[in-house]
Amino acid sequence: MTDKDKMDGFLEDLFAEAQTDADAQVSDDFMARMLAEAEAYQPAALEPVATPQRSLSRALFDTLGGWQGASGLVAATMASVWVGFAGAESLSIDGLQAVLSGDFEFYLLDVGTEFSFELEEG
Amino acid sequence: MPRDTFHDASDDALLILYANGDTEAARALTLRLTPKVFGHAYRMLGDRAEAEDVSQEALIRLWKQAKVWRQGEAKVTTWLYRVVANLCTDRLRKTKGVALDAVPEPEDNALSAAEGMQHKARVDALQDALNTLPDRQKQAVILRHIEGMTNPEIAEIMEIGIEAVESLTARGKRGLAKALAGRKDELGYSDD
Repeated sequence: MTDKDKMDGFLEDLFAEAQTDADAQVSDDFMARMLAEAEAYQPAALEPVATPQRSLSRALFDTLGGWQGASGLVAATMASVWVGFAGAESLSIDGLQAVLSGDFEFYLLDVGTEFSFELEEG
Repeated sequence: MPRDTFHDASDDALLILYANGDTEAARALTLRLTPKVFGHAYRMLGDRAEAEDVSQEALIRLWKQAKVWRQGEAKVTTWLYRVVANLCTDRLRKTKGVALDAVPEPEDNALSAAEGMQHKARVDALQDALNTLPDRQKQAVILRHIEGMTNPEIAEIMEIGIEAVESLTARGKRGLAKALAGRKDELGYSDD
C-alpha cells in the first residue's frame, strides 16, 4: 500500500466519522424554532369562495334571464292573452265543431278552390 | 422529533403547497431541509451557533421565495445550498479577516485526546483541516465526501463544470492530506 493510498484511507475514515458527527445534527430546540418560523412566514391559505344560497323563485328568475328575460316573457304572455280576447268574436264555431267531429271532408271542401290541394294525384 | 409525512412528494411540490398555505407541507419541508442546511453550514463554519444563524437565514429566504418560486428552474436543495454557501462565505470573510487560502496552525487537541474522545478528536481534526482550505475547495469536499453528493449535483450547486468539481475535490483532498499528515498517530490511525 502506497503512502497515498494510506492517506486516502485515513481521509475516508475521517469523512465517515464526520457523517455521524453529533455536532452536525440539528437540535430539537432549533428544529422547533424552524418549524414555528416556517409557519410564521407561510402565506395564508386561500379562503374558499362561499356560494350564496338562492331561493327557488330566484333560481327560476335567473334561469329566465333576469329582469330582461322575465320582462320579455311577461310581455309575450300579455300579448297572447290580448290576442285571445280580441279575436274571440271572429272565431267561427263551425270550424271548431268540424274538427271535433272529424268531418274533415267538410273542412277541406270549404277551402277555396285556389288554395285546394290536388289530393287525387297524391 | 416529528416525522416527514410527505415521503413521496418532491421538494418543489411541497414548496407549492407551502405557498398555498398548507401547514402540513410547511412542517414536512422544514423537517426535510433543516438538517441538510444546518449540516452543510456547520461543516462550512465549524460552529453550531453560526450554523444555526445561517440555516435560519437561508430558510427564511426560501419561505419568502415560495410565492414566486419558479418550478423546474432549480431544485430547492440546489438553491438552498447556494444560499448557504454564500452566507457562509460572507461570514468567513467577516470573521476571519484574512485571506481564505491562509493556513492556520493546527489546533492543539490535547484536551480531546486526554478525555479519550477519539471520535470527537478525529472529527475536530478534520474540521480544522477543512478550515484551512479555500472556500470553494472546502465546499466541494464537504458536498462530495461528507454529504455524499454526485459530481453533477455539486456542479449544479456550485454553478461550475463537472471537471472543475473534480479538480476542486482533488485539490481539496491534497490540502487535507497535507494538513493532517502529521496528526495520524495522535488521532489513533496506524499505517499497519
